[in-house]
Amino acid sequence: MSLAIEIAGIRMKNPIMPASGTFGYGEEFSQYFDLGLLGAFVSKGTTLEPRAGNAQPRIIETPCGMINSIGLENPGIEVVIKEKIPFMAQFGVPIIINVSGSSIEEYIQIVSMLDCVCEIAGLEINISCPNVEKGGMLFGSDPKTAHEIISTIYNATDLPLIVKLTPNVTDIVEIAQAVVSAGADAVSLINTVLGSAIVNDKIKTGGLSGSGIKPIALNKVYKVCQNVNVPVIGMGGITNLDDALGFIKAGAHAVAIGTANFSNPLVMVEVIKGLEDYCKKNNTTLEKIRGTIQSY
Amino acid sequence: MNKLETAVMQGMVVSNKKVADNTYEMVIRAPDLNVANFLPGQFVCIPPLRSQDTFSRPFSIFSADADISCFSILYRVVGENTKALSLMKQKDAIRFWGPMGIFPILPANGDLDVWLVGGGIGIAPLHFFLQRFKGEAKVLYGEKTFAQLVLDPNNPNIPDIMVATEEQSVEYKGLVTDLFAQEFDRIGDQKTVVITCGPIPMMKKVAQICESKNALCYVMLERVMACGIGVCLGCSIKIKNGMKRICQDGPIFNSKEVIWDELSN
Repeated sequence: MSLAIEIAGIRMKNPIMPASGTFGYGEEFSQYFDLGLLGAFVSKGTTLEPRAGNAQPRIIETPCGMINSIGLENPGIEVVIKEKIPFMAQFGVPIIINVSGSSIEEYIQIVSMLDCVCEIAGLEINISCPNVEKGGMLFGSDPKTAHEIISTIYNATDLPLIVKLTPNVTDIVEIAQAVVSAGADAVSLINTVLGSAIVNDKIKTGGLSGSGIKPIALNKVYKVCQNVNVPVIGMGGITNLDDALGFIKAGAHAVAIGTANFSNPLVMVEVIKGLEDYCKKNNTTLEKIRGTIQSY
Repeated sequence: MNKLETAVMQGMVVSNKKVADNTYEMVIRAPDLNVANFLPGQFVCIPPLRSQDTFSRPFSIFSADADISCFSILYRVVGENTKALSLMKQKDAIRFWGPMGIFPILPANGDLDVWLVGGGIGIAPLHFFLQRFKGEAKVLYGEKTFAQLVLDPNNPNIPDIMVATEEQSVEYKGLVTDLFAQEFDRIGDQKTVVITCGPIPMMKKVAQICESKNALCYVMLERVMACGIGVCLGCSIKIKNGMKRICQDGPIFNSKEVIWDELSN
């Protein structure tokens, strides 16, 4: 029973992929299962220069989730092109590189370098980063800025563009529509939810993820699917087959699994197997179930 | 499905016994794993036992017996997950992955004396070192109270052990770092390697004493981990030659590499 889908011209054998930041560049997970089973690879957020990331504490467990403030620790685009992409290219799985920047110029530089890398299938543009030229306002928090950055990136590359949306905005549909009109081939959502926790008598703020945010993610995915005409990759608190099916029924073309990888390194392959069994048992296909959820 | 999912294991609890105050040793049988390959300092990750929890928990290998495909972990009940762990029974299935962590390349042994200095639950990985060194190491071990002592100073398998408690002790009342300072002062020109594990201030003190004697010292670091696999980057710390993940690039580090201020949070 085929689970194959196509997003932004990228053919995937199934709709399951890791959420950026929970998979590294695949090397660690390759010891745990055959990476060739995944629908796509989505890399750790990569920046122009290497980044050391934030000081400790970086992660805090919260009820049904976690707060992270990793700070985009990554080896930088040159190392990713030279070492990480060749590793990922061994498995016959489309490679999507997640890119982050602190200015439009930085995004363009990274994208221009990746444009020449034939092994990659697409880019996921993280616009949840602070724009240091505009006082740290998130690129993705304003439809005008989001449109500006995506249209600039669109003109700098032929690679398919998936734009990752933050939920920490008043109207995510507005942002989604802005990036689609700027040239995005697909959108992925949601990124983490702004949250805080107190540990050792001090407050720490970061991005909340995990099963606790699933209702927020499902709400946003459902709304965006109703209001854009490009594929949506849904994520946020997905931990099992039922969750994945729910997002697909809400309209998602594909789903990404993130935080759940930490408590079960095999969750992605288990969901893939579960989807295969579900479609076989119910004599159905992803196309038939996508977007079929009824609303109260 | 491809059968490469071998590093995530389904083990079986062989025993789960209280060995000291609030402290348990769980023996796990894992027939598909060659425990003979476990290295001292390595750990396994156990997924959260409560559905509302997110992080896997790392546990150092306390001992291993390849003849019966078993290894054990030593743990203290410090929260709801370790409480749930303490309630597991013989024959319960337990999922884990590992072993994780790398072992440093020690100088060629020859005339090198090994000292193991442990504070509190830090004794857990040091016990495995002792097992692998076949008991040929000097052990200095400290706990707050006598009831917390996991190792018996009269155990013939640990011929050279001194214990310190802050409450009372057979040999030494006070901090293990003070005991170490006293004993290490006697090494003269003898070449030693010290491996220490315990609270940060304790390891920092041990490292300082070693430095004053120009002795090789390894510390075992720990940070909150979400995955233990090396992807979350939650345990990443800055040491002198860059950012390192404690789970994959450690947990054992040469004390000269450590930036102690980075560990203060």
